[in-house]
Amino acid sequence: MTGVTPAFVQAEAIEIALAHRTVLRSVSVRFDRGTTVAIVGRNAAGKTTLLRALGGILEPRAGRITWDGQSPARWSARDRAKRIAYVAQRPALSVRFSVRETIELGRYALVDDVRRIDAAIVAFGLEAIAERPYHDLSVGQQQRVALARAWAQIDPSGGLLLDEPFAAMDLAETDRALRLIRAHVRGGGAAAVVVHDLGLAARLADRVWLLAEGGVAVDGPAKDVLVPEVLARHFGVAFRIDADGVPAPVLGGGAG
Amino acid sequence: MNRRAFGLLFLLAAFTAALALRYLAGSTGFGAPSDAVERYRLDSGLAATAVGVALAIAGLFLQVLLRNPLASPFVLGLSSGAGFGYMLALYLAWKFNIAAATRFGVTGPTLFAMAGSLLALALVWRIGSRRGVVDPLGLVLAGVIVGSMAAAGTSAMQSLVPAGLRGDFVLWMMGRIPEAPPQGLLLTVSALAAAATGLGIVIGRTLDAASLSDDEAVSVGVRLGMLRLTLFVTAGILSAATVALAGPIAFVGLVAPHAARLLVGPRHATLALGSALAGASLLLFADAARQLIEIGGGRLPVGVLTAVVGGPVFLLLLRRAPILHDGGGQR
Repeated sequence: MTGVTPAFVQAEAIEIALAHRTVLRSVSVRFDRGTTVAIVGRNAAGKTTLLRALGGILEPRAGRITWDGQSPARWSARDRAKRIAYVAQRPALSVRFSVRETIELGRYALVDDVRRIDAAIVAFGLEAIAERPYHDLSVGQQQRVALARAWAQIDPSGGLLLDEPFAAMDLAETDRALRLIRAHVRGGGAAAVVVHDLGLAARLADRVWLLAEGGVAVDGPAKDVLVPEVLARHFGVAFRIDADGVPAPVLGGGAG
Repeated sequence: MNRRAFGLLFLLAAFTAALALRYLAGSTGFGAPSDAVERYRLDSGLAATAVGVALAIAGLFLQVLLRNPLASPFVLGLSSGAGFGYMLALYLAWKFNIAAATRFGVTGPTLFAMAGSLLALALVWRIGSRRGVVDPLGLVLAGVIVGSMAAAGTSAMQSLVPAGLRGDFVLWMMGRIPEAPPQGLLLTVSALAAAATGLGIVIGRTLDAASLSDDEAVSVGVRLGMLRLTLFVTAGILSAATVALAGPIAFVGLVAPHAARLLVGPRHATLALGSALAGASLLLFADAARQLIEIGGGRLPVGVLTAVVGGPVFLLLLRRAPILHDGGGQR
């Protein structure tokens, strides 16, 4: 798998255990700049664990993770913050900060940069609520604030690690977030996104890692992985390709 | 003028007023003290300031560490540990007929109390952390358990000693600001309180970022393990130091950071300074009020007054702004 130049992000045979239980075993994946990866799979397949490991939040028990051939554990906090931004599935905040103050936390290890903060607020359409307390927002709005924090933090060539960022967003906001992720990747960055909605995965990703039982069951281009035969095998329900060419599960016995 | 500056000015004014009030209020009456009494007023004013600041900063640090707005030095079993140590000293002195010794101006039971609070701290740390990484919920649980065990031990010894010793213990557990504190101890606690406030201001930005979830805090660059160790050890040392000077004084560590937060906002650099001023003001007001309220058989313990003075102020502030929010931001 290893090319002449090191991959932007690479996991080599990593094994991760949480509370003495092995959650990921022998996982090897890689992706390069200019790529969006969708991480999909059933519940408890290890998607979030893989994302946290890639972000250097969890230490692998075996194997190693590198960014541009280097271990992020050896970077300074500043270098790391510029290159890796992680957004959790349920962004949490224990202090009653305003939306703007929350986004400013993204610059913690970096130089204060009001223009970056303002740009992130505008990009995610948060101008009207920038001074409101974060805790007064809906969960979907809080997810936008968390993304804006990551945008204020990361360099254009950095990697976004996003865990279910659209879970509580309405359609217009999901559309906005999809466009912003695409723009970041086209601008020389990369993104790995845990997604449940496979239609969204098809619209977002170039590459898909399908996880099952703590391992990567399928790793390939989105057009090859997000097809009814592969998906039916791993998700336990039938799929069809809808009019937009994206997979849709056939649930509850179909449309009647 | 923005909210932060206004809040800080307000707290500074409150502190100045409290200091003046404590200077004028004494057990001999209200008014400028005579030369003979002035020294005592100044010393106890400094002691109340140092203890108030130390408790407020300890409370602030623990609220950040445990992500819990109800955290205070008492939640981690520190006062129960101190109580156990104090009672153990009284019990041993009685059982083996030893006269209580005084070293460096600190009595034997007080030394035991400090040791007890530090021992409780070490135990809570040992139980509540895994491989050196602190789990906030684990710490609270460990604090409750260690505190309960210490309280049970204290009760057991209380049931064995004569009633007079029990009275000594109960009086000590209420806390008091000494009028003639040992100078070395007073300076040490004052220096610790000032240094901890400075630390809070310096690491304020880190405390802000640590309010994110663990994973996200690490992602923006916070060294969470080091930060938690710093907060825990600092809060423990501050608490033990206040126990040595004034016994266990409740309420200040819980209320002062909240009062300051409502006045100066949530940013921790400003909040550290605000909490220090709020803690000092509260304890000075309470101690001054104590001097002025004569209830026949003696004076009320300062711990009672901190609740009586601080409670209504706290409730007033609480009506103006929410302290607790819906569960969205809590772990």
